[in-house]
Amino acid sequence: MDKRVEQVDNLNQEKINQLKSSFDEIDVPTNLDLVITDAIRRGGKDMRRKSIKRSFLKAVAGLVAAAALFTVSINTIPAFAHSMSNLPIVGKIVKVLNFDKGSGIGGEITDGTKVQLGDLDKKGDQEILTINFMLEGDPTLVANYFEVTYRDYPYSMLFDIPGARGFSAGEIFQGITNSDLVRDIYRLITLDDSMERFVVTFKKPVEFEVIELTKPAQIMVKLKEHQKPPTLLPVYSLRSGSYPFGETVGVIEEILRFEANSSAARMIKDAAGTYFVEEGYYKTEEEALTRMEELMALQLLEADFYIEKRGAGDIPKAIK
Amino acid sequence: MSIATVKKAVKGDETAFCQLVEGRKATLYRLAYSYVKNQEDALDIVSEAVYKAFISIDKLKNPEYFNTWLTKILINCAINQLKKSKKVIYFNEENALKSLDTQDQLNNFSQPYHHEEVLDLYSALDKLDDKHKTVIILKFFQDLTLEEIARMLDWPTGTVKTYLYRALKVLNLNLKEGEGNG
Repeated sequence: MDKRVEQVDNLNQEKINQLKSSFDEIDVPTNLDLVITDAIRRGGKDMRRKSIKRSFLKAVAGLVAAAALFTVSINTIPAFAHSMSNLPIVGKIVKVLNFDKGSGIGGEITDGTKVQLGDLDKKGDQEILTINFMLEGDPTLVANYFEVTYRDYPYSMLFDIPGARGFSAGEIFQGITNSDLVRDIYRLITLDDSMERFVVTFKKPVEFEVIELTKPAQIMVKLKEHQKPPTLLPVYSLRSGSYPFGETVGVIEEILRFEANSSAARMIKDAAGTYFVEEGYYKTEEEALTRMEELMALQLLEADFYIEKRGAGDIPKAIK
Repeated sequence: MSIATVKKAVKGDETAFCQLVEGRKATLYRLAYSYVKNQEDALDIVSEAVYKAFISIDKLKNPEYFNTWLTKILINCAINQLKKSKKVIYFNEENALKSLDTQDQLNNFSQPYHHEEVLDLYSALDKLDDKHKTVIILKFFQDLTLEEIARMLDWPTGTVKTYLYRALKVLNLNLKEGEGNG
């Protein structure tokens, strides 16, 4: 072989080997695993979302928000305010929540606290539910920001606690078993883990008062059977089928709220302990049907929807 | 990589998919890095590619091509990232010709050989536009044949060959015909 050609070949080979080893020498950062795990998790979430979405058609403009906003009966009574002395209060009272349009807020915005249900105790004709906040195993001084909403159909109370990361029910279920007022307390799934949410369902209409305490942080909910409950007519609930606790209901709720303009959409536990999403409830079957047709026309969801007639205190049925 | 694992992953088995990616993660990262030359963007590319692969693996028809398929997704993500960041120095015909003149001079055998050239070859990749760079990366970092590269990029083999030789000239590399054909 021509010596010059051989030299060039050797030189080229050396360069190529060098090029290849430059590649192998690229440092792989330690957080690569984390990035990959995260990408797969993100993919999994979106897949599940996609699997129940038929298409990505967007809502046509001009869709009217669900006209399901019945007036919520506010059941707070002043009588509670004077009955503090016989309560087992450890901390200091920050405030008694004001309920405006069914909702009250309290606490301070923080992150990472864990919500822990305390007790459900009977005190005479009252029942007292306590909720504690823990951070790294210790009670916090100030309550995490929270929002409480009273709802009918069925009688219940929703707690939204943004920034909280974790929920434990402790031994409250003993209290629920003995309770005349509380039927159930259950957690709701929140897809992006941005908050903890739970619902307290009542056996009958209640009057209530929510008090925020500090040192240690606590929410105290005082409950009493409603003496003169307003008459509530049955409604027509436009709702999904039932699913186990998990992402499916979470996705349905998100799509309804954020893509179908169903601002009243809410997740509810049914009589069988499974979960569904109610798009809204309507005074007449016609209204519910109209909305169902609108919803189907949007083609946002592959899930079937049903209309369920329910009285104010009825626990929704499981529809599978 | 086992075909059985790929088949499981295609059916939606997340653990199987994780195993497959685990086996390729370093290569994926290095490929991404070769395009963007910075850690942050390279990690973004890997993340995007793994995400896209995971949500579309049910569409993978031939399990034996899993690695090729994943590499192709990564390369597309890398090229998109380059376009986004616009840090790439475009290599057009005019520039190519200019650099070819210079390279020809360098190729003159009478000139002494500079060791720095070798060390610099990896960074010299940046002189190439994304198509030329892709061919070099696949040829030398993935040891693919021209036919395999052609299949992956959906280009005619002749086009791949043209790109390879043009890129090699810019990099001041001469390859024997046999090597070029892989």
